Amino acid sequence: MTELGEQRISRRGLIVKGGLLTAGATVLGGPAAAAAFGKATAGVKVAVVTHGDTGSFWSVFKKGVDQAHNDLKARGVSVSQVYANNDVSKQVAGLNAAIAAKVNVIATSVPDASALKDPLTKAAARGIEIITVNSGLGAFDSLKTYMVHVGQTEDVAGQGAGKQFNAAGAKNLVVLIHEASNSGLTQRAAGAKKTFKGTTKTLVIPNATSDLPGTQQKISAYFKTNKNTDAFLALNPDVATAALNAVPKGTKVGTFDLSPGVISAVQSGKILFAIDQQQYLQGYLPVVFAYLFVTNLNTVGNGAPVLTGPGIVNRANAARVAALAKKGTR
Amino acid sequence: MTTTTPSAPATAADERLARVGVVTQILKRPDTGAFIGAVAVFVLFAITAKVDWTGDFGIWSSWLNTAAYDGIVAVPVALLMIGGEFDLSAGVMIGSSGLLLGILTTQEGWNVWPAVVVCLLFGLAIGFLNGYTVVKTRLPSFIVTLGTFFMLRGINAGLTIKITGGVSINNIDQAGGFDFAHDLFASSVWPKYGLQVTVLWWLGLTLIAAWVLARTRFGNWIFSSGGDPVAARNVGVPVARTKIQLFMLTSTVAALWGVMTAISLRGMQSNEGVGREFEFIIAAVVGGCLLTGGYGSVIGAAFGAMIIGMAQIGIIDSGWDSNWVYFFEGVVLVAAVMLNTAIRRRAEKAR
Repeated sequence: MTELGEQRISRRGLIVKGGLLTAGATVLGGPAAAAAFGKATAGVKVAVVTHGDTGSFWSVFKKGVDQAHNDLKARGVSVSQVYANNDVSKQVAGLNAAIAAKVNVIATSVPDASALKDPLTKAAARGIEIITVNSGLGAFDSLKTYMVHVGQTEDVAGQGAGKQFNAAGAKNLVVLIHEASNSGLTQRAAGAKKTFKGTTKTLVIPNATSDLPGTQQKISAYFKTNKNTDAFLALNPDVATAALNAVPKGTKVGTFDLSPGVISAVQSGKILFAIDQQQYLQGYLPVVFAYLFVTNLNTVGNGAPVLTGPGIVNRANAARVAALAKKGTR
Repeated sequence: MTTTTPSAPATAADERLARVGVVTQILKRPDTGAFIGAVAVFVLFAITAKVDWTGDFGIWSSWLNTAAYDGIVAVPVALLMIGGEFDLSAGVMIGSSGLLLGILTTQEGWNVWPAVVVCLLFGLAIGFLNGYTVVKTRLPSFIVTLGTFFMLRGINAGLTIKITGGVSINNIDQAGGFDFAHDLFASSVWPKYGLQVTVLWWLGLTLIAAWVLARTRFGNWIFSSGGDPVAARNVGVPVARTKIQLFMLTSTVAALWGVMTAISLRGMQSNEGVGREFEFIIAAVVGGCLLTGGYGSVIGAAFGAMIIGMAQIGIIDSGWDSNWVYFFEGVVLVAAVMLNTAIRRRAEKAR
């Protein structure tokens, strides 16, 4: 029994010893390995942290970031990206990871300003430059390392949508809000209400984009109980294309943001208009601004946002945009 | 009547007792597999990360902070699993408690501290509801707490819209008593490296629970209620009461974590916490807890939470698409359970 026992123990001991040895070697050899793999301490490090999901809107945004990364890689720019899928806690964790990794610039979307206040204040205290993208205009202007907002002003964009519905002669509008706690979406709805001459109501379906069939059911249920609604404003392209099957015939549908489905629907007249905020620019420009600031101390905006929208895509210009949307860059 | 060889001294060890080597003793522990797994994951990310994982304590802080998000509630979830039950409502409870705190402080104008007490009482109540239903109806706890999960999820969304017209409660930081609450629940204990106080809460809770499990009568009752409730009842263990107490503990700690999250985020979304219940279970199972109960470790669950934290931060630091985190968690779960089982079986064979 002793011999067998010893044999077994030594085999098991090997597992434990092997694991501890590897761990020890890594701890001691880590810095050496880091130098060997050439982990650069110079260069421009940018962290792009958004609440985005994997839908068509954010994939165009991501293409913008990826293209900027490719274009500027040779100049020493490295970009890390986090898409928190509408989970604010995960976005906070991504921001904290960026701070711990000592990046030069953080480009972040702000669906909920109070939730991001702590990590962004900490980043500013560490001297990390902050760019807000897509949402959060005006939320963090007071931070001393705040650079600029790249996006569209939601209020003005919403007003544009309201005016489009006026021109189409609609009387009763419903606006679908699809993200929990995104203040930008409520601002869009408020903007539309401001200019729309008829009555405006909002329908809130949290996480609508992660359950589109369920969202369709809820939309048709809404129209059944609110029979005199004749106009529908979606704030997301996936929601808009899903809604086309759910709204009654003759409803005037407008949407925010483009997708291939939205563009072909605009071309065929099923969707009246799309408000384009050019999210490709929202991904591309912050990386460029970061590079220019870190290497050359250039600033943009002078306190005002760099506006990427609203552009109106309707039947008149949809064909030209369609080709670009096929590449995934619009 | 045993026979001893004449040459054996009178004080020789009793040969009916097997001498088990120290290494074997360590390997038999449920948390050893989790520890080895945590070291392996750390080594992996130390190699692939584009930043200094080994030397920079700021990086350690970032994954420790993230580990605490799951680690705190994983402690009672692990205890409950050892006790033989599941609680699928622990995740959404975070949201319910945070929203309750938000409603009381922003809509009703309460000071933060009485609101915190109410949130914890709410946790106790829901936990009691879960436990009592499971014990009285003898339905599987999986089903009962699944029902609670959906009910709370609906209440979170519906009540928030009814009260605020939106999908989140904000501006909790305007309430009285907020600053001290922020210091206690959401501040940085080591500002230089960004280590959050939540890590201390997590480690403290783990150590207390480990001590209770190993050294107190209640800990013994937890093991026996999960291992063999019938035999336990027959020797006088109050199985039903123990299980109800474990459910109450789980919901209350989840409520506490909801309060801590709401204070940290200065608000709460109505969909917060949904899906987290699986991460708690992963942490507990990686930590050595059997799904059938009666065996496990909260220290192991702490290592399980560390693995999840390292995965989330390590994948960002390595520049991989953050969607791979879910894939990684799934792989880790299966690999850790296989590793745990393999080590434990081989260790138990040696006598």
